[in-house]
Amino acid sequence: MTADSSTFLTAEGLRLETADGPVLDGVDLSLTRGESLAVVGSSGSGKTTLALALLGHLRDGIRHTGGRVRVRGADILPHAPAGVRGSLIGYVGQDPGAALNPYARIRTTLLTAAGRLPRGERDTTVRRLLERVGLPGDTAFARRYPHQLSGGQQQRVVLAAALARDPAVLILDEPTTALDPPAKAGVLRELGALRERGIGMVWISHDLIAVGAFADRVIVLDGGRIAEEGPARRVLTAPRSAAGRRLVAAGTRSTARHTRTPPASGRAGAPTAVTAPDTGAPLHGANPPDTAAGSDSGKTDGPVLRASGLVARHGSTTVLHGVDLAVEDGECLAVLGVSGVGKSTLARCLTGLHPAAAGTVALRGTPLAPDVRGRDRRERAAVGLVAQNPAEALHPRQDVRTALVRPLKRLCGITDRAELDRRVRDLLESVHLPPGFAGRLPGELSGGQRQRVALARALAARPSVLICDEATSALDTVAQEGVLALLAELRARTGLAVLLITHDARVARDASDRLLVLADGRVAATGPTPVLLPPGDSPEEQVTRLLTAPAGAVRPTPYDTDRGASLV
Amino acid sequence: MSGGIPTAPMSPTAPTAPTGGIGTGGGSGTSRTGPRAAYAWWGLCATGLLLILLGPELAPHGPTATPGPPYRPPAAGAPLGTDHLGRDVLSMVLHGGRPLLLTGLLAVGIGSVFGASAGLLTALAGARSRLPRMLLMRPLDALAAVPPVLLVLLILTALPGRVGLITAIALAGTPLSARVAYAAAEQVVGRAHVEAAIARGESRCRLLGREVLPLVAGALLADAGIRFTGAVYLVAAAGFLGVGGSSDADWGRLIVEALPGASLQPLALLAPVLAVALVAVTVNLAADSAGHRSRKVLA
Amino acid sequence: MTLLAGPVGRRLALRVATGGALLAVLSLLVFVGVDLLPGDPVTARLGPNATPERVAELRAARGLDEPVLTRYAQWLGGLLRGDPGTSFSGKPVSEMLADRVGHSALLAGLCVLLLVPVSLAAGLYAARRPGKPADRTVSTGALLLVSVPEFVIASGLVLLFAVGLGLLPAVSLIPAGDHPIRHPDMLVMPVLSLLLVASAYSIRVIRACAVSVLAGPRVEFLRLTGVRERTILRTAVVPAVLPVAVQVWLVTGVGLVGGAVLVERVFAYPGVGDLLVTAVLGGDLPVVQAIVMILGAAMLLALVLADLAVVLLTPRLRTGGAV
Repeated sequence: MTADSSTFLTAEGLRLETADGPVLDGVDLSLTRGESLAVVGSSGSGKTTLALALLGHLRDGIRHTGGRVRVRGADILPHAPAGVRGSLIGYVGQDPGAALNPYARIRTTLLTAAGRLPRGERDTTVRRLLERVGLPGDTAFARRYPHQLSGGQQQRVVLAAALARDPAVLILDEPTTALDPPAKAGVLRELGALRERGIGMVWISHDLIAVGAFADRVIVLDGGRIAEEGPARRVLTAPRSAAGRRLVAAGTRSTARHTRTPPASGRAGAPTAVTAPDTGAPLHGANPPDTAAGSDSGKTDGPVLRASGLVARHGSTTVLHGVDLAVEDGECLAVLGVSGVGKSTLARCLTGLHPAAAGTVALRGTPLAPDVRGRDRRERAAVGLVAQNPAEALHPRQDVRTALVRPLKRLCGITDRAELDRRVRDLLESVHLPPGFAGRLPGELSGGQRQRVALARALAARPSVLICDEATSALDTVAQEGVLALLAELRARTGLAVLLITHDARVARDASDRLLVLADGRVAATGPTPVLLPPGDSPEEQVTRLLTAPAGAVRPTPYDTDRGASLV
Repeated sequence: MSGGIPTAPMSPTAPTAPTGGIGTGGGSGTSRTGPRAAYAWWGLCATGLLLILLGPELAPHGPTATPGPPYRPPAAGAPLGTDHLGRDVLSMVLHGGRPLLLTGLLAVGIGSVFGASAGLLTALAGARSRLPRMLLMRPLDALAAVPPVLLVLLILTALPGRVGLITAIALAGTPLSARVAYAAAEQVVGRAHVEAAIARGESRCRLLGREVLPLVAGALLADAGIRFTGAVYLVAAAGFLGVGGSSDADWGRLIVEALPGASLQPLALLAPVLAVALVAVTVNLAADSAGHRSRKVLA
Repeated sequence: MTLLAGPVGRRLALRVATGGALLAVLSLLVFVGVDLLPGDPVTARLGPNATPERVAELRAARGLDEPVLTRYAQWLGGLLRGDPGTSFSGKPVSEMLADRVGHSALLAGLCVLLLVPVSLAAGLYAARRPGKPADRTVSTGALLLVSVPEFVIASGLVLLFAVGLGLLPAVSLIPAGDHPIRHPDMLVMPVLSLLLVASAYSIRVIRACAVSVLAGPRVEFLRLTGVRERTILRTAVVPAVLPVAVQVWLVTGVGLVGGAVLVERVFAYPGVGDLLVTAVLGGDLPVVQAIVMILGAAMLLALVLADLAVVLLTPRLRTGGAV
């Protein structure tokens, strides 16, 4: 950490603490002019705190207890002198939607960031800043408000604001994490161009592989300490620290996940070899509980669940415009779409929680009432639902047993106490939870465990089809993989049909047999998953391609430089 | 969501006041100052409550007795002096608290039960069924447009006396209780476990009693506390205006009667003024801290 | 003007329609609902010893023997023509209210005029120093004042300024025919006591809103971009606080008339307060119903205006970005 003349920004033995303990503990770093440095770490490693400290900013509750941060030799902690932020160091954060002032036009935002300017220079400054980040520089665009821009455009405006006073260094805290793939590519392109022009950058990210390409040097942060530091190429290929190896492995896994065989690709019938449950009877699936899982004659031909021409409204807004789908026995159909296209409404229409305005839902060929209250006990039992948020999945004041017993009583008519206990034990076992969990309250369970209980609750009545509405999206990667593997196992064992609703193209690719892409409340594409999302390219890009291909699925708007963003 | 009325308050004794939790005195400060301070604070409240409820028994003189000449300054028999009729100020204040609290409590009980039922039923019926909204929430919205004091006066015109006062205060609190209950229940109704219960065809009674009510009970109680602040205000106001079958020693009435002679016997005015202010502030702080706690339950 | 043709116009039209519907419902409640209440204002006033003839006579004199819906139709027709009916004392209600409503509105209006700068300044002042002594003083003061009835505060002010210090008159003795605006010294205490209570709530709302904006990502981004605090306050905090504050000010303003009734009585101020109390004690329904309808209409109008203000002050709503 020698402070030679070219060193612009340094941290020396920086130590920051909250009431719970240190967030950063003895962090050293230095940045020369024009250099690009990546600070990588998993969540909780203190990387955002470090990013803000490099700007002389401490969030509430964080105390500066040691070390220093200097810009061109001058201390900026605990208080940054005027003329450092914006003029010497610029900042771009994660979520442009949250950062931009919704009450100010783009022009005002940029002029505020630029500081005092003579009246005559304002228009040219705004134009220059907008054009510098690849946005149109005309007056009409500058008069827009943030909500009239796409996510990618918003982030470009943030970038333009950060550049308004020509800082020598940009601090970039996960600048593309909140963006969809096309917008991400656009912003990365602009940042690459800036780097070419010699602006120094500090990239903060959890994704080592992604930022590695932009960095000269990489610092791996782990638990508030520097785990290792070195040239980007070396850290990426041969990480020395455990944290570094973990990050490289995680990055590699996420890019290479598709190369693995999907956990359960077979239709019902294929995985007959799987052992029957200990209890003798199959846990789920067909209402006549006689045959073991597998291809059987008890099922009438045709799909378990079919929806045709589903139209759904929220008030006067039509959310679904005639959606058709069918789920076959033992199949996993993934419904893929960005947030707000009506995925959850679709799930609620199928279960009868949100009666469809038009169209039919049929269970094995028999039409179901649109409202769940009009469906009989057998019909209600046949469709299971697991919802998104584990925090709200269970009644906070009821223990796990109560949650599982209720559907058994209500939908299966079981009243015998011993039988109920046995079924609760079996259900817990089927979702890999110990029997002792029956007495626990949801507050004592982790998110993944709660979601397993919710799954067990949905399985209690032995449904023919299980609808999972973003059932894994609120979970961390490990819990997510656990729940997905469990679903695959249950399908293999019992021939359960699954409708997997997700926004995550990787989840859809890994877990489903068939895919249905939903855009603007319509089916944009449907077909076998391996055909629509072939192994190879990143699934996000493939989905973007799927969405942009059919005419009418995407409405391009003027200024829409980030194609596909209008879907969000 | 329901009609053109933003959830702004109709009176200073308002609903769902955002506080930010800083500097709100003993109420929300309990978490900061530890359990001992909290106990002390609740102990103080309980003592005050007991004092008010037992006040008439403790009072040295009856509410109509005139132990001294008018406007006598504090003396041995009357520690706070006497008022314009020669009644003992201390005794009058001690007599006035119990009817105030009990009237308020009864009115809030009735109003909150009605309001909460309307709000819960509407929320449970779901966003798409319009009938409960039209029949329950709209009339309440209309009622909320009238400042509570005027609503009380209107009802007291048609239905004088204590019964009218209790009806009026209950009605004045109902719209806001209904809205709070609706808002709280609306969040809960969308939770996956409630939807799972709907999807397996549970009866409305069970949905309400087992799935929704336990999760909104805290919010409803906190709201009842805020409503009680409003009720204390309205009972005192009715006494002050001399309507609603006020008793002789009603605090509001004591204030209005002491006003003309305030320069001769300031204590006769100061005592009931402080009594009303203390009760109002205490009830408000308690409701405020209950509100903070109920919001933490679902978080 | 193109604004009014677009989403704002549609929203405004919807709000006005909703307000009108609510006013209709209110009129029904105020007239028919009150009629359906158990008990009877006539027997209640005459006492249990009144002869049936006497009761019937009084009912007939007050027009109570006709079906309620007929009376409602007549009353509503009158209201629509601007005639709020006749008092049981025989005088037209409009004549009885004429000056007094104006006097009460003067109190409420003056109070709102002061409320806006006072609450905005105090709320922002406290919000910029969260947890500091200045904030705790303002916040605690507001929390204490918000729950105390106006007439109690007014009485306290009388004790302090009139009895204790002798600075201001304890009663507002305004000669008949004279307008209170010509006696500013008599307006000070009524307005101050209303202002203290009303601003307490507004300050709390504004402070809470400003605190959350100041702690949010927008302000953090502006600070990290090197923007000065004053500019942040002007461009990001005040615009975010205003839509909320305007609603509170308008609604509080109308609600103040209710409080004014009580404060007027403390100072013997010639507003609607006295008139109302007399009417309530005499069971004079037409007078009370008229005042309730006037204030209900004012409140619903305030809500429409508040909604319009929110739309105009929020770019996302103004430009029709979302409904």
